[in-house]
Amino acid sequence: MKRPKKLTDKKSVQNSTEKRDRNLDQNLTNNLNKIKKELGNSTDLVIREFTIGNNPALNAAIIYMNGLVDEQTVSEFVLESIKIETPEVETATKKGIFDFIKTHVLSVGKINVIQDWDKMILSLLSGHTIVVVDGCADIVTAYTKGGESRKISEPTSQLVIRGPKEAFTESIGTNAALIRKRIKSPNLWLETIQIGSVTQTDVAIMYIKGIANEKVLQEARDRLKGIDIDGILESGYIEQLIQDHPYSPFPTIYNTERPDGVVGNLLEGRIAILVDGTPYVLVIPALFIQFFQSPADYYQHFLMGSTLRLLRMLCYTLTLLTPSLYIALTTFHPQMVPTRLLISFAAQNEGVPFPLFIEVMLMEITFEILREAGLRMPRAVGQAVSIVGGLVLGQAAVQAGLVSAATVIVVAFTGIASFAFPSYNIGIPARLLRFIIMLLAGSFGLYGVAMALFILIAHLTSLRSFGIPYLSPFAPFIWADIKDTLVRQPLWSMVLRPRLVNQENMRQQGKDNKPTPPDESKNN
Amino acid sequence: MEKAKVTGWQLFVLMFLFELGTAIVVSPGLGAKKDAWLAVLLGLIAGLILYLVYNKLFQLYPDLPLTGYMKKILGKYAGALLGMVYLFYFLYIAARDLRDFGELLTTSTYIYTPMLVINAIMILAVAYVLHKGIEVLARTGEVFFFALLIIGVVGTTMVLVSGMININQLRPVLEHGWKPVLETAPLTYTFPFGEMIVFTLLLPYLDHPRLSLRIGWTSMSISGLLLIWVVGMNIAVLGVHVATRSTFPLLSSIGLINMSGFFQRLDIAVVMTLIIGGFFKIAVFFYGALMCASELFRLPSYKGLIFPFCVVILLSSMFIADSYAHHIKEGLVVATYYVSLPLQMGVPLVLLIIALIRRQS
Amino acid sequence: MIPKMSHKFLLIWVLLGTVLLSGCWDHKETGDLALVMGMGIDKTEDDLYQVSFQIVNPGRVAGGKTGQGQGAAVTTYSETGKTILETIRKVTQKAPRLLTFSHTGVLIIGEDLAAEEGLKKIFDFIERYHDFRSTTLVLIAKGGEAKSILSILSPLERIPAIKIQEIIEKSEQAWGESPERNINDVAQMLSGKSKGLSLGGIELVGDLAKGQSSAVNMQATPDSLVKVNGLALFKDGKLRGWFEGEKARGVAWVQNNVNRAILSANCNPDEGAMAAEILRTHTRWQPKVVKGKPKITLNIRAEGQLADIACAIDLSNPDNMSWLDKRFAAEIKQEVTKAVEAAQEQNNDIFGFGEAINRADPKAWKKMKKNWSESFADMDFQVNVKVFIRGTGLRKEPLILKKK
Repeated sequence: MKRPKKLTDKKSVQNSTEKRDRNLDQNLTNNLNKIKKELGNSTDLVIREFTIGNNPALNAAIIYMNGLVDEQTVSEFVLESIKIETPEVETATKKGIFDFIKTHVLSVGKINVIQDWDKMILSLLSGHTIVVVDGCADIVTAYTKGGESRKISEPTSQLVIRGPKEAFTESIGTNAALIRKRIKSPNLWLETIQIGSVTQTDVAIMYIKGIANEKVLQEARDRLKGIDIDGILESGYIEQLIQDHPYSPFPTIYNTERPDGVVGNLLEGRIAILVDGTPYVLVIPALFIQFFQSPADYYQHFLMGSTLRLLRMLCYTLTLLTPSLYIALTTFHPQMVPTRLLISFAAQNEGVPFPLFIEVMLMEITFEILREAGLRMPRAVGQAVSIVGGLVLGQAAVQAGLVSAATVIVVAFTGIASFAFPSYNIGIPARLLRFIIMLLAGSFGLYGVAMALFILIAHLTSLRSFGIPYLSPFAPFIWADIKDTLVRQPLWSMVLRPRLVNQENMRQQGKDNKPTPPDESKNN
Repeated sequence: MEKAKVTGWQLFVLMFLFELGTAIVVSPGLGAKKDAWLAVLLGLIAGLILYLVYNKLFQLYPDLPLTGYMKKILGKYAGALLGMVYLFYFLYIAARDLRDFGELLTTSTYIYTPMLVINAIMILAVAYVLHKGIEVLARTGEVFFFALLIIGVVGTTMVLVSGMININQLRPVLEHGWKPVLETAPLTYTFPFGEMIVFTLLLPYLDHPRLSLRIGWTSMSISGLLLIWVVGMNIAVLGVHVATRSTFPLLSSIGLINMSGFFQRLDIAVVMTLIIGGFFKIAVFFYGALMCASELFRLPSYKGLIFPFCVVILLSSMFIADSYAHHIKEGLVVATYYVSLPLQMGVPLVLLIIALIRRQS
Repeated sequence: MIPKMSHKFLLIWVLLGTVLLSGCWDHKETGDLALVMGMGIDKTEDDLYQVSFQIVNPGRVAGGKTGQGQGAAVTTYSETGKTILETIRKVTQKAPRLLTFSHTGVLIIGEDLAAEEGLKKIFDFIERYHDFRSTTLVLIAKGGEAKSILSILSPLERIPAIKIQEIIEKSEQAWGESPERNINDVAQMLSGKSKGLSLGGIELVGDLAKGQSSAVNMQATPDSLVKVNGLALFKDGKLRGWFEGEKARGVAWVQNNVNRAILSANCNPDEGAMAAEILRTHTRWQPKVVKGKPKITLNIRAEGQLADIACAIDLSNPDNMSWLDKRFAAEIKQEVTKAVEAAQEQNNDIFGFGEAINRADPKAWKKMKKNWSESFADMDFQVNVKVFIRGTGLRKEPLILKKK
């Protein structure tokens, strides 16, 4: 459970403290030259020099990175305000000027005063506009972050019929806002740190104070702090660096692009990890069953929600086992196949050149190729790939007698079942392990499948996500939490939050939420 | 001992799977013919009484496994010696169960597969789970308990619905008097109820020690009643003659299910039941042996022993008997009277008496 | 850390190694299977078993690209040998595939074999061999060889063995005469000491040679057919005689084997006939021992609907309905009495009355056990039949009734 501490930790801390000693120079020209030099004269660095006041005119400059800032904000609220407000200002003391700019001139919401050189560079690279005044070792950074970013759009990988149509974007600020918009509570806390020695990516932990489990929270902070890497490109990086069981194919951290999904999890006491630059937000701790829950389950009638969940679990089992069971039953236990079906299988198998195992294996691999190709192709061509692959190839292979129709049906069925999970990454272990189970089924029939299941389940039960047993509430069995697993009980009956995730502040709603028709006798 | 805790429910499940284990497939007590169920019932009652003894010992030494308090009660050397005996006993029973398992698979579905391979795969899977520790074993048990429950419910419904049960086959009760029943009862006690002795090694892991009696008794009773039902059902379906002649009666009776020509040859479900039950039975005995050994040799962790024990169990399961007849004869006569009865009943009773006398003085 | 990991990997490698290297002993491709749909056992003159296997040709049965060819859907191989296993081995020399019995629907035993050697010897193998399923139906070839019955091709259903199975299932439901007995039933009865055994019979009608050609499928009125007929009676595992028609159904009534049946009776000796469709029946035995003498009371209860009536009775009159009930009850009673008396004549307890007496009075049974056959022959029995005709179908009065 405990991750070994990184050996390099201390060294990198030392490195950064050395740098931190560097402060800004008082001389404007020196500062500007230094910045230019540090950024290697990058052409997207914009430095606008101007003068303030007239008695005597003081040199000043604003600096920003082209494209990272909102140009309009910079020109309207920084540059223009300075130009309009400052010409007549008293420039006797430089410090006074600086304060004046800070307090009276800049009409941007968020400003900071810093002396530290590295912090300034970081602010600059994060899209702040920096105001430097000659003779002053302090600078003001104005929050003018902007530039081009994708608008909030509909989710692409987690679709629902009923429910909010917003999805996270690549901007961490937008994402945090999307969550906060839904939880108007002062207890929703956000902690941000920078991870990645080069990329300095913003990573934020979001949780509801008083509901979230403090132990998990501390564990998450520790693990995030332990990361020592040059860059974080996506939340997948974080996921791989903080998960409990790096060798397991099963995801122990949940990810979603739906704000409502995150909000639901936060309310259950889970913790969200937001990473800048990706629309996928991580949620910890994650249980196995969580990957089969779609936010939409809660939005529709509980009977439908429950049925769909059971269906998804069924699909998972089918994805994992259908090809293996097909192999095992027909080649090892033909006595279990109904007579007429077996005769039909036998008839189809006549003339097929491969043993059934090889046949299924080939078809499954073909299916995976088709799926990957369809995904990578430009959208227009993708359609063609699926037609050629699915229809033409399948049909021709059967007609040529290379594979039997039953095999094609089994493989196609497995393929369709594998698309039915609300979470993409839970499908990955099923897709991979399917082949291993097929191998066992091909060598030992159902016995092989049973043994594979034993090992699989033992593996699953041994997993933990931030200390929470992965297969709970089934193993260990927790009756109170079963209400929201394979089936979803009516909303009004789920009075308590899941027990495993948090231990205190259990109640999530009143006890009398069950809607009842008005009492007629009282009205009369 | 590992640093682990097992919840009451998990212990219940483990005991349940353990008790049904292989017994449900080989149907003990058929020596008593039509009254086999009665013999099982007697065995169950004896088992429940003896569990009181195990439980009392556990209550006296709540932190120690069998081998631990044996040393305290009998002294260091005598305790260690007896511990060795139990170590070999558990290894032997694990090997026997593995053999049972292999026999069923090779006679029913895997005719051409060498038993060594079947057994090797099984023991390796067991080893993998034990490698992860007792908690994982217990949790795996929870999952497979539900699997077994589903198989059981479906199988029972099918048997009931297809109308194969002929209660008349069980009558008259006590056709040959009490004698055959009483003669068979020791066998049904030692297998499976007396085998609960191995749980004296697992009880210290229980998170609420005061529940140990309740858990043990409910688990034994429920599994015992199920066993009675299965034994009775076998006779009611197959008739007493076919049932006693069958190598695996449950396999034969479930094989008769034929519902509208589609649901038939469900005997593979029986094989699955055996795989699940056998797995946990072997695993628990294996674990018992590991506990004994790590306690005796004062090892901090038993993990190093898993692989050598694996090989020992596997090989002895192969060399234990020449044929199924040898295997069963050995199990029914030699193992019962000379090994199981003293170790399951004699030793714990003596231990308890000595411990109580010591407490008094 | 490192030794622990290598331990884990060792385990995985050993596991994978066994899987990959071991191959697959019990693996068989469906295309390599010869599915034996029906099996017949006869005895030849030189005291060998002659075993016939009706093997399906999958390509000719199921659809698919190969199409339903003109050839026969099954092939019947036949071999002789000292044991059944020997014949199975010999057949493998002819058929290029692996004989599989897990889908065998019917087992037909030649009349000669059943009468002379009995069933016990062959059933030992059949029970013991792993590949047989105990739900396979057992039939006796009436007046002929099992081989010839398995050689007949059939219209309607391309696999004759399946056809026989279906006939048995349908006729048990509709006619109630041929019992559906499988291997397990036979084994149970063979191992009991007091029990007799009755099995359904099957016979060949028409010309054997013509029935063997697939041309039979092209005729509207086939030259040859197999027909389920009669009840074979066994004692000590050996065939002792046949019951047919009413007697055969009488046995079914006694054994509570009638699910549905068509029951016909005459209204009056000189008047027309009527028939009822019996939908639900139940037979309860009341065995007891009176003064050391066994006695059994058979209570039969049947419910049904009037199906056909050719006599002038006003059916709207409840009294007349009760009269109908009694007429049919008398009919059933007659069938049952005939059957039991016939069995008693043969000293053959095919019903299992002995077991019933054992259940009722184990002590008395112990005395009677040794010469049960004699006790059975002169045991008393009483038959009480109650029939309830619940409805008269879609019409009330019979056409023949002249309303005034």
